[in-house]
Amino acid sequence: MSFAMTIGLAVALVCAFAAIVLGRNLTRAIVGAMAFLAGLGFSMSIAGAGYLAVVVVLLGGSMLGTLQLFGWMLVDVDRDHLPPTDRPTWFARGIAFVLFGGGLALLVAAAVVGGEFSVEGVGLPSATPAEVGAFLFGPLAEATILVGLTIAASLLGVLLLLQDDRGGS
Amino acid sequence: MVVESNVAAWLVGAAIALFWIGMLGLLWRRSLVGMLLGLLFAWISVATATIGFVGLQDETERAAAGGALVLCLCVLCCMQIATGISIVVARIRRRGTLDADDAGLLEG
Repeated sequence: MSFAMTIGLAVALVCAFAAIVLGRNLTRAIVGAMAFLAGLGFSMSIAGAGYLAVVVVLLGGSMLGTLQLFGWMLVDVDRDHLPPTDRPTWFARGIAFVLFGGGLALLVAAAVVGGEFSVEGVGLPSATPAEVGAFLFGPLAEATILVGLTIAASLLGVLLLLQDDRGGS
Repeated sequence: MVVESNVAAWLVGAAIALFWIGMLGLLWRRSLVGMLLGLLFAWISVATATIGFVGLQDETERAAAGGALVLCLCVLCCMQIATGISIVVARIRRRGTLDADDAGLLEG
């Protein structure tokens, strides 16, 4: 267990939390999320995740770029101009937040008490990209077709949603 | 590649914390773009946990299946975020706001 990996994970989690909690303006949230991705990619690389870390960082970064592009096009990046939340909504969100935090606390408590998840000599990951590709287009061919259909359907949905109501683009 | 112990446990633990942060974004933020950011964190946490569990597999075939699962997860994440931001764009064009409370009834 590398010290640098621990630091990278801690920095990534702090940046993700800051991006959510402090991100009242969009630029701050995007910068926090980018720092989170960098920290996570660093930690995964040290852990030996290899090409999977590259895949996660590349695709996550591209989605962050998409959010940044459309967000800057549509939103005032300095503040979100939202009216104050009404009392019932605050109450419902508070209950949901407490329940979710309680579940997380129970999970952490169970992990601390159990504490038997450590594994000696873990390999991360032992399959090469060629083996993953052979698996995707071999035994998982039907699932890969479904993923391809999902991509096509999503892109078609995006095009239709972005189409102007008057028929233009 | 053989690494030191507890790496998978750390990755899975970080993924749990990250999933909580993502859900916090969905519960707390009222901006639809901020909620999408939380959703992105949640998807990345699932991919991180999967990578951690891939490290627990000794057999190459199972590790390859885990790698394929991570790829599929990342693709599905991208598609969901792309569709979500398109819905936000269409909504802002029609209603002029990105308030999540205003979108509660899904009335178009």
